[in-house]
Amino acid sequence: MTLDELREIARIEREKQQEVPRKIHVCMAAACLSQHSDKVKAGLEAQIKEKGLEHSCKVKGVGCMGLCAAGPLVSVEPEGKLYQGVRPPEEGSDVADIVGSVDGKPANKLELDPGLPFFKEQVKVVLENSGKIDPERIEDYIAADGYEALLTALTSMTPLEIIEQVTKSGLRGRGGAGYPTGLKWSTVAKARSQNNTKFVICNADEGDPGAFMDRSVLESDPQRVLEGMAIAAYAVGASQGYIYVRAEYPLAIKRLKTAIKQAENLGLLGNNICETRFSFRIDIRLGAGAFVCGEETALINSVEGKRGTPRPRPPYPAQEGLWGAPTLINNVETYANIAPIVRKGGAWFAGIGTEKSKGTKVFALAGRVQNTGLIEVPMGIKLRDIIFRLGGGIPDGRKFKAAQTGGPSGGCVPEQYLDMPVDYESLAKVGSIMGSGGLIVMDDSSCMPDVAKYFMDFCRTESCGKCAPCRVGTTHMYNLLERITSGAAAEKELSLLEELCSVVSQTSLCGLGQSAPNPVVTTLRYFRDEYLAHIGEKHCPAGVCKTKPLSRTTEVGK
Amino acid sequence: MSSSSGALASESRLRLGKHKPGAAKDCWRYGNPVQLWVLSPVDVMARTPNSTEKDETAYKGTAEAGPEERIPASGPTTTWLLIDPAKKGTVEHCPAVSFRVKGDLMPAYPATVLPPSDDKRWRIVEGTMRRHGREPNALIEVLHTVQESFGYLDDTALKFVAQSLRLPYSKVFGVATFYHFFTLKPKGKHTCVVCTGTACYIKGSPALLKAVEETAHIQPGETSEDDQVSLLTARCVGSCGLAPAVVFDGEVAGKVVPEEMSKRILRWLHHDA
Repeated sequence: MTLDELREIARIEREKQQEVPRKIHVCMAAACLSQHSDKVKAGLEAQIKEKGLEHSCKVKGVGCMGLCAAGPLVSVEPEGKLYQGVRPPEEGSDVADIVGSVDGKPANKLELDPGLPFFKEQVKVVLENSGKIDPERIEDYIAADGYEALLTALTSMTPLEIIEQVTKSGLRGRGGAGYPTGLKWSTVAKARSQNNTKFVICNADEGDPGAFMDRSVLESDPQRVLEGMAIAAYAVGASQGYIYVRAEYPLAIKRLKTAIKQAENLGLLGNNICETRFSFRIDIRLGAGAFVCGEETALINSVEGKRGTPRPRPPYPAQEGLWGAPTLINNVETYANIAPIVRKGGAWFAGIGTEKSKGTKVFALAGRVQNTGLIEVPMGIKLRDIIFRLGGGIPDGRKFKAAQTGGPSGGCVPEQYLDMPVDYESLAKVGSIMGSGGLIVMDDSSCMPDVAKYFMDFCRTESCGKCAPCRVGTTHMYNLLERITSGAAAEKELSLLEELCSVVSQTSLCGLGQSAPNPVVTTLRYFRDEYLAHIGEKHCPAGVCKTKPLSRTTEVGK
Repeated sequence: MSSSSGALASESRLRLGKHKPGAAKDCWRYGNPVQLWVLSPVDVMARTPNSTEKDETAYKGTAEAGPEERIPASGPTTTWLLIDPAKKGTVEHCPAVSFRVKGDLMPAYPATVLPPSDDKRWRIVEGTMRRHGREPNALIEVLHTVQESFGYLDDTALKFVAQSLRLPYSKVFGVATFYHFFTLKPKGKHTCVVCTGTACYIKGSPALLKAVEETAHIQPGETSEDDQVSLLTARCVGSCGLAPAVVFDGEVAGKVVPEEMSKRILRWLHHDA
């Protein structure tokens, strides 16, 4: 496959697509599929055949369109009409209505305004193809400039030039910690190893509860991740890659497998890609449900077929990783950013976002918010805009209480910081982290000590047990929170909890333990009155916890 | 390997244990060929009991891959090392030979381990192991296949996997119990996985769990007495937009309310009763 051959495929595919003036896109990502979008698609196809519209209209299964709460979503191109909550043919006439509107009849009640802030205010880099291309056809991806970046890089750029572009773009790790990607790449590129073996790993072990960005990217545009990995492999000098993906995402695994096979068939993966000396293969490794495997050294152990326990760093995986060889580990979203950076240049990417946090970030908006789903926004956007403009605010007229970012390792951001820009530094300043992009909105029906207890329960069961501070500390913190929420705690136990927080975060071996106290620390800082209400008045202000008020006699007896 | 390999292998197993990488160990064999499983890099030397350190190079083993083993493109190479003193002049006349092996050394198991039963599902498991060249690092992949084929991992399966991948049983058991995805108990006829991710928690998954508890009297991780329904929890099924989500027999249902949950469970419970 040479660059000319690739462009020829793209040209043929584009011509083929233009033959049919109208296209109906049906979302085939997991959320809409669970609402039977596959039946909707079949119904639309049957309806079009029935009306003899095959030559003017075509149905295409595409990836996630973002607004998962309103699924199944159907869009009609090129008008860009959007329909929500389309029921399969056996449940109503929705399908016939849509095909009818294609024919020129008036629009129907399911129509969704594409001018909503939810759609309009997004800036799409990672998700530019989501909802537009068929994730199971590589030709569709190639027609959208796919693999152009890889072949250009292979034929006209040196590995050093690629790393320079990535460094210039200011891209930072999208897994949560925000380590500069260019720096990581150059460390791996410089590392020397026995018989020059190096590995590239894609971390798709999206364990954060409440986060589904990686799943969506893999389900909607798997080729983009493969292309990013191949460019990374060329830049650092690796010839074998692994994608470590959760076994809980069967659809993402299936689409990845299809994507790898199609890329291999076209010679875009495998030996001597683009008639150069560069060879690269990608294998899939399945996770098995361990949150700690998102930590890079634990992930490496798991890829090697062992228990996923972390080990102390240094040596960092960039020096000694998989089977002792220098290993580059990046998150799905990081790799998904690579192809556009190479294609359009690092300076273009650096033009988006803030001074220290460049580019865009995909967030999984969930919880007590009107529009739950997937959004991509430029770094530096205000939290208020995300929740109230794109998210459409809090439903049922309730009051906003906190936004939780970063999952169990992150913190709760209270109302007074809603006007803060969303970037790595600002979130760290208020005690939370960017995390992989889960953003859970809570309203006044959530009890903050109870939320802290929920996260501590998560960390307690997910602790791998290797180091004592994390294994024992999280259990003790959970017990304390249990006492607080049940109304059995005394006020001095609050200071004990605070002390434990600092011990566990300072002495744990890996990121899981070091960040486990974050939800407790932030809720204690911003919602201390709720803790005090549980302790002093034996009362849960949100009405969530079942506090057992001590009877007068017990208090006297004390 | 020919049929004689099994006998040889079991003999040499008496002498050879698992070695730490880099540790040298003298392994005594008497006259016969010796077969060792070694992980590269390997350095094998043979000497007679009376020879000095200088004579050690009198024999140097060569590492060859056995006929049924595929050398994978990556990772440590498991090499079938065949040392046949009978063919080498220097060693032939010695009554006893000591092999010094440097590197990671595995006890030699018979080349093929037979599946525990004639069940055709074992062939699928065998297929996965073959695809990964029976490498120990394929353990998690193989366990996934076993669970997919049989529904759970029982003792027989774990022992079979351990032997086939030449791993200690303790390691296999350790991995199987470390990861939440693997289950050592058979599931009921129907499974119901309640997502307990943050979004689902906030939107009421505890109430769903309580509903199941009240209708079927089972806790998360348990199966009802008549083996009809298993209740499981998941960290996050990634359907946060549809919170609270429940996976009924592999099918994700979104925005589930407790009443619907109880109804479904009751239907399952009484369906075959």
